[in-house]
Amino acid sequence: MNIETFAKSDQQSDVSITGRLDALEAPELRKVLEGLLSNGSRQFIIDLTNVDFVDSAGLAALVKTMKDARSLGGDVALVKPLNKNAMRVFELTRFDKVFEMLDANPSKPQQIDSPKIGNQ
Amino acid sequence: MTDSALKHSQLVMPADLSETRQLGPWLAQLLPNNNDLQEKLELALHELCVNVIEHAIKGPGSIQINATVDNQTVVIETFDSGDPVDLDNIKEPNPDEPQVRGYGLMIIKQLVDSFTYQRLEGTNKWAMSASIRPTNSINSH
Repeated sequence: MNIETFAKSDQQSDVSITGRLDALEAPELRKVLEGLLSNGSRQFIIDLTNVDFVDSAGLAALVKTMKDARSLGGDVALVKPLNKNAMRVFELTRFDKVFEMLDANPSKPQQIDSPKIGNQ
Repeated sequence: MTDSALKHSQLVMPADLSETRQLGPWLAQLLPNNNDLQEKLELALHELCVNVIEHAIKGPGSIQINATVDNQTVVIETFDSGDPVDLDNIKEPNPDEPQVRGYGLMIIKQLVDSFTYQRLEGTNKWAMSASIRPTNSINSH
């Protein structure tokens, strides 16, 4: 899994994840997202376009951040994975109705301010 | 059905989360012509093995996974010597009250046609089966 974060403003962070988001990788994502929350981020767009597998532990890292952000007046939106296999866990748990799910748009230019964290 | 139509495979996996990465390639060998079922079973078996590692074995150990495939059905059984599981104490998540964890078994049940648990003389046995028909759909139980 690779995680990149981009600060869009004091309170908004974009996070881009590639690879597998599973029980092995979820603790690392949770650490990154908790760091952003403690640095003041409240609005998150988490891009899962290039994630190819998500399990319930990966989902849990996203749900925990959503709950924490909402309790602080913020929220989390997800960019849908292109891979239907990665989308499956959201549909089976109905979290596709709980998160704001944005369509992936590969042609959309990415607004990148400054990478804060690059993580292998 | 002739015996030659049956395919058996076994995987003995150390109880370590990193070892769950073996499951996808193993299932790909088992079901080379059914990508959709292969992906569903990978998620189901992955969720089961993570649960076994985190909640039953909780340390060193291993999971034995047996698969049998015929023309119509794939049956996967796992055996581990971890703590027994009390299914009566596992509450199904309420879709109206999103929670952080506890979705593993709910996910598995929707991905396969049957999913059972037995405690056999100190061993946990989980079994799941799924139809190989191309029209195989996600079932809720």
